[in-house]
Amino acid sequence: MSTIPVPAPPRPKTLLSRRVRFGLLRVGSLVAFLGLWQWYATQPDQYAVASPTEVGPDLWNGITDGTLPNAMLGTMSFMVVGLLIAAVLGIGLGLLVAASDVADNTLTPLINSAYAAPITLLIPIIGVYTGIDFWGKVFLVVAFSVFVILVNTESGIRSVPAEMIETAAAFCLTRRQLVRHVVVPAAMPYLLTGLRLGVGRAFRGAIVADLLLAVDNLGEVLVTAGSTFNVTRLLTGVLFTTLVGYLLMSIVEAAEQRILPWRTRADFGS
Amino acid sequence: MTADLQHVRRAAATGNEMSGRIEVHGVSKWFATKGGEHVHALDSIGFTVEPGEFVSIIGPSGCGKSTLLRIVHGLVGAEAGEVLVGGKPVTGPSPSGAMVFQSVNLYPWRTTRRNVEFGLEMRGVGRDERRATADRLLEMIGLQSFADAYPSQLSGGMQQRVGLARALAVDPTLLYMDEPFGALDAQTKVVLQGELALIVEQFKKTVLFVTHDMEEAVFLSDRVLVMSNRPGQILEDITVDLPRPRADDVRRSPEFVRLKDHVWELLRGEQHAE
Amino acid sequence: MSRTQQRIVVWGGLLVAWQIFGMIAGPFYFASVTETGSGLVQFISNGHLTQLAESLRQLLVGYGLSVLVGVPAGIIIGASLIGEATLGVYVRALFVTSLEAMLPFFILLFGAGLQLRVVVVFLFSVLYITINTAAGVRNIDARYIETARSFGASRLQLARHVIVHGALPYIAAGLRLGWGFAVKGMVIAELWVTTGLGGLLRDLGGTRQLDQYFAITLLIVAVGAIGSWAIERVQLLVAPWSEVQRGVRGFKGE
Ligand SMILES: Nc1ncnc2c1ncn2[C@@H]1O[C@H](COP(=O)(O)OP(=O)(O)OP(=O)(O)O)[C@@H](O)[C@H]1O
Ligand SMILES: [Mg+2]
Repeated sequence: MSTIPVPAPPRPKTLLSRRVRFGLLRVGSLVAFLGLWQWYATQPDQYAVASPTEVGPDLWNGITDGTLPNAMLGTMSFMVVGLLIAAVLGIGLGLLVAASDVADNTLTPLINSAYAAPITLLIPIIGVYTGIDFWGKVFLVVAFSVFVILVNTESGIRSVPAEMIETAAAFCLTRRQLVRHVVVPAAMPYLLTGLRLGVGRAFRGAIVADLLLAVDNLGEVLVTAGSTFNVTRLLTGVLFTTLVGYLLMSIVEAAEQRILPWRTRADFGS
Repeated sequence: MTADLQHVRRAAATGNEMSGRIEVHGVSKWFATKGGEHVHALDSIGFTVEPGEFVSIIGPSGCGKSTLLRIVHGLVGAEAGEVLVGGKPVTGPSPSGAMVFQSVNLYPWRTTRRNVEFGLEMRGVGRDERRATADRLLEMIGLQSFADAYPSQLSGGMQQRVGLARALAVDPTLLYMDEPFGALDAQTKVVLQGELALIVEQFKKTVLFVTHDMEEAVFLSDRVLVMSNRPGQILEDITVDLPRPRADDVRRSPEFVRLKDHVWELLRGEQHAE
Repeated sequence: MSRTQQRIVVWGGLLVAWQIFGMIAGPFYFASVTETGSGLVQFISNGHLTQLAESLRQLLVGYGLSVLVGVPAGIIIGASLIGEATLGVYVRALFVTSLEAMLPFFILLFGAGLQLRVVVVFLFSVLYITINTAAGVRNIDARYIETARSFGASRLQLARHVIVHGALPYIAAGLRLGWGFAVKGMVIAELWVTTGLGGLLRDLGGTRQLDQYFAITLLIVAVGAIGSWAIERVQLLVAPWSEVQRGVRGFKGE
């Protein structure tokens, strides 16, 4: 900025900065939300919703006695396998489709439809091909997450501006150098976005698998609590799942920040 | 003789538009940056614009010209000093002023005509009246055949003209113009400068005009304010005593060239300063 | 070859491959193109179209509600600090979690009937509409807002004449995405409580009547695609100046 010593401006007139006001509002709304929830849960003729004062301790117990973390690890085990497969498949196919105009013209509409289609439609029939346990669930996770990775990879490659490639050509880069030094860096933000969204989707796919394909892990916690009318454990399970999802996204976002520190984070995934 | 002419012009304008006088007193402005530091944009700016006068502000890039214009129009506040228009402190955009923006800012979702109507619509002017005004202005700027086109279908020069028409549509006493011809090619620029000179003379507007272009400033203005590097200060207030109406050949007169050179000398000093 | 020709060749080839694969695999494992065709006829002659219509009705109700709620909520979140701090935080928390995990809870709250399905459809789509609208509002060029202020626009006029239009491409992208997720919500809710089309799919899957199964699947995918296409047409009709935002970029405001 200016090298001349700059006198400090007069103090702003508002008492609280934007950040502080935002924080206060947030805390205030959280308190209000919890209060409302507590009030609703303790209404006399209301049995379906447990109160925060019940869910809080139950969440703590569930975590410390290992029930919830174990369930989470079970869900994660097949989710991670599925995610890895989806990443390899999605990036690979994305590169292929982006590299060929014919593939783009013909396959992209199909990929977009698959991306938009309800994957859960497969649930009643995939058992015959994959079983309903580990590999069936892996398959479901892959189907949930592969398309978003694929589509992002492709649009990342396609978004590399033609001028960039022309400039590179003017410097006589080889094809390899072109890919390594121009295409990949330029497409990287999209690729990472695809992976981040892929993680979100894989998580949803994993929960769906644990609920609808074969009840197990986190799904089992929820279903058992639901069918035995253990309303406290049910909400605890929902809350825990939310926390896990939130944690997962935070980790992925932090990783993305490390890889691409120049990119401002703004959005949130599906 | 020329001074006489200007005097007459101003008197004519003053007669019906007392509210046109702009007074800027000791205006300073800082911007907070992301890192928590402050950029000192304007430093104790003071000047006055008489009703009917055309005053240009010229200065190095980033010296705070746009910011100054925004403050005078009331779009942003200043940390120190005050702006009076017609004797009253400015607290927000007033209906007596209208702005032509550096980046034009036409609304892509409105056709040319509806862009010109925008200000009138905000003031609750009825549909037929709006339309009549817009059509009249579109004819004046020679774009009546583009009335139903969207901005994306217009060239840069056409968009600039629509931006001007949009400001004129609300019949402002005060016209704030921020490098309206900055992004244009040399020919279009000269043509539009001529048009603007005619329009302003015809409608007796008070104009505060920001530009980078020394020739443009001298050609159009009654006075030129030359600004320093950031934090912007006014280096000199130059009176342009050239006869009006000004035709293109005035650009070759010795007085014109002398004034232009003088502005250039001032600005060149600033180029070296940073 | 033109694009259309390429498509005819490749898609035709895929259909042929599907047919051959279906014939080799046999009807227990895979339904061929012709079997799927006759499955469709059977589905219709069995009178199951009324079931489809019933599912569609719930879909439309849930989706309509999500539009009515999501767009204004998105505008509030995008335009005001209070909205972001009080509403935006929760919308986002719901967004990163799995709504599916709430199915057992929703059954307790809403029962297993129509209400549940409408609620699930609503929740599945409302988040996308809200978040996209908010992103659209937030991404409006600040210069458009300044211009309106310079012409003395009131807050209401700003919302009506600038914000709604500026955010429109995002809103439309959100509506399309929301539609896709509404369809997903419908499927998952019906599979969960085993009613309607979902129940039918469970039956057909269990007894391996893949011909009808594939036919229904295609119908549901078509419902998603047609809705999305229709929203796009409406957008271009209402706002011919706007561009259609596609794919992932659209809904995240990138
Ligand atoms: N909204 C803002 N936030 C932070 N800094 C700002 C803002 N607006 C302007 N500035 C800073 O204030 C200084 C003056 O900006 P301004 O736009 O007024 O310059 P200018 O003289 O109009 O430049 P140019 O001739 O390039 O248009 C610049 O350093 C700019 O970075
Ligand atoms: Mg400027």
